[in-house]
Amino acid sequence: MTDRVPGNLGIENYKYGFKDPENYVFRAKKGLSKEIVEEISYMKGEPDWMREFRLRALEIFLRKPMPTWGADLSEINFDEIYYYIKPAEKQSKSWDDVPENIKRTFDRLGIPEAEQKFLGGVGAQYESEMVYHSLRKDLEKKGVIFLDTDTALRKHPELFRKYFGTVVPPGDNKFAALNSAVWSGGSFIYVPEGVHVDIPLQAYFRINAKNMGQFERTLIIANKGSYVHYMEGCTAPIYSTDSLHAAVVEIIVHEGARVRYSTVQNWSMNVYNLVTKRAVAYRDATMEWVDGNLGSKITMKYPAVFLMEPGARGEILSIAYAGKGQHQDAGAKVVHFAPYTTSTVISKSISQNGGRASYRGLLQVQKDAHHVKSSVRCDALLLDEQSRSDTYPYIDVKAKDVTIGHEATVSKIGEEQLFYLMSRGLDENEAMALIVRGFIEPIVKELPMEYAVEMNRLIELQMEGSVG
Amino acid sequence: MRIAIDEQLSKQHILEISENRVEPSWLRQSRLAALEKFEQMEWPTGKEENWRHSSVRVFTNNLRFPVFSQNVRLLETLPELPLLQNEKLKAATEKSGRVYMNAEGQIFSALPENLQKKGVIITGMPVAVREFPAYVEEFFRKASPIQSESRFEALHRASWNTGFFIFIPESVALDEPIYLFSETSENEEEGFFPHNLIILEHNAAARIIEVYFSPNDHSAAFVNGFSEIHVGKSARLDLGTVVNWNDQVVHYHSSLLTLQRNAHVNWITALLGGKNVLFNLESRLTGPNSAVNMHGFYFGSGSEHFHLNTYQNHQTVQSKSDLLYKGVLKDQATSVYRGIIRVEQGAQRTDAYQANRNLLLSSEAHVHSIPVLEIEANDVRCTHGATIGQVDADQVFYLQSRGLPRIQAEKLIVDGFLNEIVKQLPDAGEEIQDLVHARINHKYFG
Repeated sequence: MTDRVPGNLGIENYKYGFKDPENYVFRAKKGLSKEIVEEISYMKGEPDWMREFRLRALEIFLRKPMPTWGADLSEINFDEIYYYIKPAEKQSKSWDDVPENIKRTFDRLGIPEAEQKFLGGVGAQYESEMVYHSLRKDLEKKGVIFLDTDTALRKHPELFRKYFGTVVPPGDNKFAALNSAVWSGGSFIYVPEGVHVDIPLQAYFRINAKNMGQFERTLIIANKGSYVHYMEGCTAPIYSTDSLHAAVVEIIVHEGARVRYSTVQNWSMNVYNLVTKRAVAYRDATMEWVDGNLGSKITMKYPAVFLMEPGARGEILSIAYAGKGQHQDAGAKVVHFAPYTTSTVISKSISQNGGRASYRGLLQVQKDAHHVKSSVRCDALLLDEQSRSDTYPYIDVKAKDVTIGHEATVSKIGEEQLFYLMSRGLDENEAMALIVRGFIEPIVKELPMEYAVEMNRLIELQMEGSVG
Repeated sequence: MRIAIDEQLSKQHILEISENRVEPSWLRQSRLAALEKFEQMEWPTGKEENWRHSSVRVFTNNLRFPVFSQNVRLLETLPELPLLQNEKLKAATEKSGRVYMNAEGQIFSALPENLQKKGVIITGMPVAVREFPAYVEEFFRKASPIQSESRFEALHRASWNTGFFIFIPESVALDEPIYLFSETSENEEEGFFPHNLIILEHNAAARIIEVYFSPNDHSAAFVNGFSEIHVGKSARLDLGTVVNWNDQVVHYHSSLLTLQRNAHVNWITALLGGKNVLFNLESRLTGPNSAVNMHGFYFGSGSEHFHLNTYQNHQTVQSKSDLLYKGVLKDQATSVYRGIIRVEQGAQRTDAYQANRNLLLSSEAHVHSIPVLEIEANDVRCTHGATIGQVDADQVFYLQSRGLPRIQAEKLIVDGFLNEIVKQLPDAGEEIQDLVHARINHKYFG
């Protein structure tokens, strides 16, 4: 029995590696200092409390050591990064106002205009500020707020202050502290009580400047009994020096509400993607993370759900693909604070061409959180013998009457499966792509159609020419 | 002898032990090298992955050294162990090899003559060093660090004072199990540092059962043990370890099992008692077609704390490991299970399984489970699972409806849960299994 070496899956030939000429109104100096943070706050015309919040976070950032676990972050040089860039484009309200070169960028990303109109609102983050924002009128009438985070701070200061930083405090981890100090852009969503947003809200992020960290901050508040689905997609051009992306996403799901947050992350191969995503779910609320990690050099991302009151439910679905030179350290974190709460985690990973995919998860049941049910399932597919797959689940239980299960498997593509498909006339590439698609299908099917299509297209792209 | 570590674990003390015992120079060198390592290393901080949820301080604060001046005393007869009041067990132990050792340096060993003639050696380590230095030296020279090597192993290698030495020559198969008994001292200041070496040559076969126990129900003790087990080509070993301390004993132990081509090992570990017990169990599968079952359980009650770190290291093609540890936790007991399946690059066609299943009997008990996979080969089958649950209320109800009191019903279900493991102990009769059940009974009914 010989091993088939599938060879190059082609992700190195990065599809979205184009770039527009840089054109900025303002660009802060490289590096990080108290002055830079104050300057960012000043440029944005922020209230005092936010400036103080930023400065406090900066202190925490400087004090906290780099994490010693997970992926290798030793090559990040915090002094070589621009922490704030204000692009030339002003906030636009209609599609016609969006500058040509940016439209071009979106076209090349494959989101046709018609499709965007179909979607509820498109917030496209170009660099650090939103350049395009629209929301269907009927949603606005219902009282749904969908703004970039900076504008939301100006327009809804009280609502903003009530929730901002409550789910992910600056002291949570080093990169959350960094984001808290220099955050810029991101989405702000507020859904009033009982409102059901039946079309997904979407924002596209792009990084477009050398050595530019992107530190967007997203805050989603779903009031009682409401529903919203937010989608975030990322693609970035290739640059020779490393880029840092350290976002924070905070979500508050009130009683009986449901929030779904979907991501397809496809950063270019030099991006460090270090993201803190966390949701709190109250009585009978449901939080769902759907997370796809395809690009980046290193990703460390563990979407979290804190289940605060009885009946709350958390669900995390994730896919990771690690190709040459990539380390996807992704996972999930669920903390059951209350009795009668439930959670499900499903993770699938694919490693190829020496890539390393790790699942790192924490499942914690706090004292007196009885009648908790939780199941975690991780499957990994290794496509060749140079690649690596790890599973690091941590399970801590401090309560009785709980039902906790964790399962993981690691396997390769079966010879028999390949043989069968090839005997039916598929070539080896197509057969492998089909099997890989089948492997991730349970998660892809949870994505809205356009995302599922894009996901499958990316996988196909990677499988192209994979047998050399 | 309560000793401030840095003052007392000096070169001079090491030389003292070594000279008292007329140890060969290679052994003295091994001790001094370990001492040097000990001096360079720091105690774990507690933040290390394999110390998660356990306290290093409990070990360092309770640390007691072996009594350096003690001499090895060979006993003529086996002491009257309460354990051996069981006539059946006593008779069983007399059929095959047996060793008794304690923290005071006393050793008794016996082996039927027919086995002696075949070249089987079953004795205490200090005796083996004197009488079979060539064997011992070979394996000391080969010794390599374990995956979770820490300052405790260095401390052990520098100052171990007793242990078992078991040698089964090529193609010798033992019909009856070997019994090994280890006892701590009533003198709470005497540390117990057993160094055990078990060697099976090619094609040998043996069953070995070891029991660790306290002289009474209240004497505290500190134990820092190390077991090295070598299983040669096509050899078969059944090894059962029963840790049955009273609830005052602090025990740190590392065991390294090395399997060569075609070797098969059943390795059963039962942790039944102790204040704070941490076991590192490592299997190295170095030859094709080697296979190991690492099965075991821990049953904590009161405020006992059990910590298991396991490592299934697949170094070569086509080896198999199957791991299952079950846990039952009562009262305020806590446990940590952390296990790694490690498949090295090129170790194709590895088949590895890892499971940790826990029953929580009290809302004050805590359980931590960290089953880890690290896979660097693609043609493998690696699966793991962890579960945490409680006794099924329907089953308890059914038994109660049949007239059993609640606690009896619960215990019956727990017995059933653990019996899958207990019955695998390589017992001649079921005397050691009875011992295990007796301790579980005690945990329930005092």
